[in-house]
Amino acid sequence: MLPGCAQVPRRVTESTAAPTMLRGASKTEPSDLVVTDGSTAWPCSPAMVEVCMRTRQLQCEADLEQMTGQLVETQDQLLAMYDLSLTTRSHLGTGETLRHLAREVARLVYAQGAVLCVGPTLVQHPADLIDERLMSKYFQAAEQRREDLLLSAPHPSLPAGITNLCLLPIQIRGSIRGTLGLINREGGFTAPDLKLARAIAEQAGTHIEHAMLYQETLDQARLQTEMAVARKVQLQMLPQSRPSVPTLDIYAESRPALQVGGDFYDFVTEPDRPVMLLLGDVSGKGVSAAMIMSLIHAATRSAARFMPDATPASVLSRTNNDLYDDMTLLDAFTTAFVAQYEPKHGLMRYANAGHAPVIYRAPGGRAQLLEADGVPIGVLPISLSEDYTLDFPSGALLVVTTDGFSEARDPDGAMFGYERLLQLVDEFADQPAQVIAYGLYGAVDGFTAGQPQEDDQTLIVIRGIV
Amino acid sequence: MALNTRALGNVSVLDLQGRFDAHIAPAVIEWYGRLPTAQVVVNLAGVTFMDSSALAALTGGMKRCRQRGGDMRLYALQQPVQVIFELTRMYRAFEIFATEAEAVASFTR
Repeated sequence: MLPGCAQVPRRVTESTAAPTMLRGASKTEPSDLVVTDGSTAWPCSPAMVEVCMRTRQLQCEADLEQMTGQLVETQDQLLAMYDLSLTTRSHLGTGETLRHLAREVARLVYAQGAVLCVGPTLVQHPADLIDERLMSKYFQAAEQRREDLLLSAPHPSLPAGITNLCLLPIQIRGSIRGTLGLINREGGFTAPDLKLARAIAEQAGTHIEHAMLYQETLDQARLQTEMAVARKVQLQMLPQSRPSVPTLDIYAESRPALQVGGDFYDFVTEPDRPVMLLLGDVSGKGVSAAMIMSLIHAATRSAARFMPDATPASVLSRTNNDLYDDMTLLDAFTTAFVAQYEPKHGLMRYANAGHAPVIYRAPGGRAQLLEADGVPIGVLPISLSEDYTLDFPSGALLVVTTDGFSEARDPDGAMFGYERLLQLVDEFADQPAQVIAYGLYGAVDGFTAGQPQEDDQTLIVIRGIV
Repeated sequence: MALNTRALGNVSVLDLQGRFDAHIAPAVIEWYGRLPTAQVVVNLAGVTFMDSSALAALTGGMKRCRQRGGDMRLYALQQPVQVIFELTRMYRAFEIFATEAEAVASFTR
């Protein structure tokens, strides 16, 4: 039975039976009906019954019209929700999605404006509708209460010009992370308004989650592109060719762990100067290590190229002097190995600032570690590294790697270690420099068995040849 | 990795446990900012692994303390950590002791 129609039979004494009695007139005479009006009752004439029926019919028609209106409105709202869902899908960015949702929700709920807040982002429609700081306070209160909040004037916290305010917390990724605010619904927010607003708030949460996911994917793609460019730049900074020294077979390579890395190597060949090789490993990983690497690479190379009578130790000392303050500010240091080859005497002079592992193998001898004497660059205000000299005839071998080799781990967490490196160098000692390098990379790759590379792996292999 | 701090008179003690690497290094550097004194002792008895980020964090602490007229001293280095200090020659930059009592007493010498 329609709600409006239920009011008419109540005016009949036998209220629930009345409609049946009216329809079954052959059993009961209309004059037998007694209609009540407050405390007074009187017999109904046929005219009165006619009036009564007419009144009831009009009432039913009015109720039907009202119901039809409500159904149409509900259908409109459902269509609006569907439309909102479709149109919101085409907005990909979080800000764009929030602006669209604010505009549409204000339209659908017949509010003067809407404000949406997710994290630090707050958007409102129309712009400058309400003070953002004030709105943020309302949002905080709503998010703490974790339930919808309706404020209507007169209310002490409502500013001038705001007659009513509806706050609806929005659940995003499993917790309350946003709020929808609806401002100034003419005539106040009705129950259907609030029901619709709640449905929109829940749908908004889903749309915002999608927008956030899209934004994260986009950011990730941008970052990957930038990292790829950074890696390209970094690789361009490494030597594109190896120095041509008739009595040396040289190979060098660097494999960064995270797109960009903190390892570097270089060869400095200047006319009338012995060739110099540099290798360094900046503490830490990733972009910060790469930026420091660029700094120290440039400083070391400059010292090696332009210092008068440069030796490995003087290059390290000069670099330490130049960069100690910067390293202090950045909480970083760099281990570095510098060597200088003198073909006339078949000697390799080197200095080592805390770098390991460096492996030397004399012709026919066993591979051995060359331990550092000085601390890394940037640790102390003065360098403690001194020059040492190795015989470097044909068959001698120098392998300088970074700890990305020795500290590589297998799936069980065991480290590759120095012993394996020394054994490999002995095993490959008679091979060309490139084969030795490939042998080391292959052995480490086999050892880690597909585990992600944790640290940069850089090496220089130098063999004395006839 | 666990990080605990305590005070022994004018000496601040930092107790570290487990793997000391790039994940914990920022927390250690952040702790330096709240140091009440420039005399610091770091207990490495429970540290089983240390990477270059951790060494850089210790170096940063040592420099901060020395700039303020104090120092950072280390004690109870376990074998894997000791190897790192030897290979990088970091033992030439730090004062290292076997026990906490020796490390703390070194500030009164």
